[in-house]
Amino acid sequence: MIGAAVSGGFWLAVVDGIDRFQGRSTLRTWVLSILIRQAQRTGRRERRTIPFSVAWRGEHGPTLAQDRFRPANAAEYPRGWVSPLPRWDLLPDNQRQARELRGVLDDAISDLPRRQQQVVMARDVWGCGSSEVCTMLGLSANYQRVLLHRARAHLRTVLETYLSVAAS
Amino acid sequence: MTSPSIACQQLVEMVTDYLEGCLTAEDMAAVQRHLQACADCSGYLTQMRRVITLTGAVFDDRTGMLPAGMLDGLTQAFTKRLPSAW
Repeated sequence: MIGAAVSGGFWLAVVDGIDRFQGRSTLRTWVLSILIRQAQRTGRRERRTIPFSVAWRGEHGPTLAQDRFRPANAAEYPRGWVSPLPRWDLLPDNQRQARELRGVLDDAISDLPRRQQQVVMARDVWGCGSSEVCTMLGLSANYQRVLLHRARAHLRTVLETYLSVAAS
Repeated sequence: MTSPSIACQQLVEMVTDYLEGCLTAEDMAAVQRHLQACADCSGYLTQMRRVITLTGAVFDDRTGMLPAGMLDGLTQAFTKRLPSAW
């Protein structure tokens, strides 16, 4: 999804729109805004349906299944992990595994709700700073962090599931 | 949110604020104490950092090298914008 966004269509959008750039943001921020919108349009064309679990995911509530934690009134370790966190079997120099994981993440980013997708792309794919993203997307700092947290937590869960299936 | 001690279920929801440096001094200290004592939460934080690193590598062009075809696309786009008299 993200690789496809950086194509002739993106550059045409920049060239066609450059006359409308009014300097309210930096040129870098403006170009990145176009890139994010292009990437989202590409992602929507590629995915005609959204997984049910994603469609109903809101922006409130815990980011991890609550049955992974002991109850608050547990005698020992209340609200602690029920089971040890599964360790990830990552091979540092394995290019094939790295490529696979990037593909898994790219698909997972496409499944995110729009705002979460925009924020995680801007922050973690493109490496933009927090205040730059807030300006680009018109978000408060707190809301941007909420969206980023929910997006990253989902990506972590996706990787955890993928790696546990791969290991079995 | 301030607390003398933090449960695992709370910490997992605080990791982004922790990584962003947006916790109060009290909460930061509580999180750090918890991470030192809890291998699973420490592992969770490591996994989140790993996700951030992997996500950053999703776009191959982070090195600044133009992907194949991009320069051609850019050249064509600018060529179309040139006045016909050129």
